[in-house]
Amino acid sequence: MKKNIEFEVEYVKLLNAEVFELKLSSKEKLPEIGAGQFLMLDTPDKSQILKRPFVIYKWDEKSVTLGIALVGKGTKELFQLKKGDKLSAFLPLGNGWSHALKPHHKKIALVGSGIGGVAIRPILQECPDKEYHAFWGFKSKDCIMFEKEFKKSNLKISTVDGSAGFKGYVNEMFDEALNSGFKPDVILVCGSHVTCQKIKEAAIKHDIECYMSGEERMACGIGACLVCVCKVDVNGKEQNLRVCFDGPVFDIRKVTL
Amino acid sequence: MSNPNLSVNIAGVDFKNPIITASGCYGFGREYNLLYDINILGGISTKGLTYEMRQGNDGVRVAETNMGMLNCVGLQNPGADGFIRDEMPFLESLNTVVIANCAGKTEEEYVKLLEKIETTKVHMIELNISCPNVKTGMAFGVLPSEVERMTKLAKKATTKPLMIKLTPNVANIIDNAKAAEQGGADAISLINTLLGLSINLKTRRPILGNNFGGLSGPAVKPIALRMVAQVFKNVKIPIIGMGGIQSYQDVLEFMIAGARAVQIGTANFYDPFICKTIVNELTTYLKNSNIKDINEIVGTLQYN
Ligand SMILES: Cc1cc2nc3c(=O)[nH]c(=O)nc-3n(C[C@H](O)[C@H](O)[C@H](O)COP(=O)(O)OP(=O)(O)OC[C@H]3O[C@@H](n4cnc5c(N)ncnc54)[C@H](O)[C@@H]3O)c2cc1C
Ligand SMILES: Cc1cc2nc3c(=O)[nH]c(=O)nc-3n(C[C@H](O)[C@H](O)[C@H](O)COP(=O)(O)O)c2cc1C
Ligand code: FES
Repeated sequence: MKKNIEFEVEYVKLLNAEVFELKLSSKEKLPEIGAGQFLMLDTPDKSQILKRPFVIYKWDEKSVTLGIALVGKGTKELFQLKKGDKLSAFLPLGNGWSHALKPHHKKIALVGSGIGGVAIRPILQECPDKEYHAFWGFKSKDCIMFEKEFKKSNLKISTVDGSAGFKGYVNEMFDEALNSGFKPDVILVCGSHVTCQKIKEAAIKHDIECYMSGEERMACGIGACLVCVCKVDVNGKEQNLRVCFDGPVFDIRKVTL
Repeated sequence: MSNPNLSVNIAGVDFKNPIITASGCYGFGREYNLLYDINILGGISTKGLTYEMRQGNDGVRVAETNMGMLNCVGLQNPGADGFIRDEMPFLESLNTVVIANCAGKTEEEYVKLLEKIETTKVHMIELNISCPNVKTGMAFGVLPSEVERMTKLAKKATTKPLMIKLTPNVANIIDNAKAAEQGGADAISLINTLLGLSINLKTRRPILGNNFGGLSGPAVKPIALRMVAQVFKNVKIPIIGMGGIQSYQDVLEFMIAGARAVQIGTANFYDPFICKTIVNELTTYLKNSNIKDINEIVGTLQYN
């Protein structure tokens, strides 16, 4: 059940120079949340009328934690929030990973770059009993996040400048693994557009099921306004589906990237 | 005091209250019906329909602006057959007025669409003439002579009450409203979105995939209100006002300016329960102000 919830800020904490964690708590019990679902969050400046979409990174009965990259006006304001500040959010939205994950998916590759990890970590919370192999890409050593979160998931890190882990892009590191015989039952991806494109190519080449969590600018967040569409093959015909309602999780092989 | 009357009648159609959801901002109602019982609404105006199904525009479709937003969705819709097959059964199950927002690229497409909608139980037509005519490139609703011609054309193609939705991107809104009345319109709705532009400083390109887009939200309210007031002074047919409404006070302003009912669009995006809240608050306001019938306030604006 989608609900508008009044939250209070618990803390704001930097994860790296460009990403912070925002924990929000509510007095009332939250509706049931699934891994990969998102919320639409108010920003403090009321002249910015639209809510911002963020994946629900961590949650429990009465709190949610978000991982937010500082990109523009709204996210910078959110970073200025102090403990006790109030703001509301509408949640939970979107389909989440549950429709992608099937019982026969035992060995799961988690692939992506940068902030995309916030959309992937919830899977570990929801399905702890699978065999995970995480491949995560960052720009450089000082951008690395989620090491603790992915500790039990055979995390392999790549950095573009080679300051830590594999030198190069995450898809290159992942290709290497696939080429040397690594064969997961399914690949779950969240990252930049290019990362998604490259992983899609790899999934097709190696014939592995693959799902991605997508991102588009949104207004309503519930499927009514049609501003957030992406092109998806539906029964052989390309259609504009709503990322907020039909997604954000899609079968990557069906998405036009 | 007994419950005040909130019902309004527009072109023979009874609305239980003057709160209608605006076209393109509420889908076909399904998504919001999961949040609250949408039968509390006076009515729903559907997403803009075209005869053939359409995929809409490519690229970024929304850009936020101060107190507003630009959109260039471009009439993505299931087409007449898809609408009748997939959406009409749900809409028919509702106990609220259903308005079909009808658009087209050519006159023929408008006529074919209206003839199809004629076979449904839709209560009313809202003719969206803000779309470009593929033959001239200019929106159908810009020149008063075109507004009159399109109204006459539509009037012939449907027996349902016909409302013409005016675009504000014109030289003189009064002339266009008069033209609609002259053409036989049963009602007028206004305003559609205002044409705008938003630029990405890094790329020096428009943010929207379609370059320009329609501005909506609180930023447009004063313009919309002024246009409703001007139109009210110059035509006799009823007016449905919209543009930036986000509170019951905004609704009252539009009604005082001359609107018999209002539509609410963009506000649904940032407060999904806004229409429900406004219906409740409007009722309370009337009770507390001893207004027995909401129709009493329509067009009561006194000029200085
Ligand atoms: C389903 C979904 C989940 C997301 N989850 C996360 C997350 O967990 N962590 C995170 O850091 N970011 C996430 N994003 C991206 C995040 O919503 C944007 O970075 C944020 O809205 C930018 O706001 P701003 O005011 O700082 O930027 P501005 O550029 O000032 O924003 C202007 C407008 O554009 C929109 N916008 C700008 N960039 C994006 C973008 N990349 N995606 C969508 N809308 C955008 C804003 O929402 C706003 O309406 C997610 C996006 C989607 C669609
Ligand atoms: C995303 C979006 C889509 C819209 N689609 C349509 C449409 O299909 N047909 C139409 O007549 N108006 C459409 N409109 C215009 C609205 O119905 C309304 O006239 C306008 O947004 C002003 O009202 P508001 O400020 O309350 O949103 C759309 C507006 C938005 C924001
Ligand atoms: S944001 Fe409105 S349909 Fe997705």
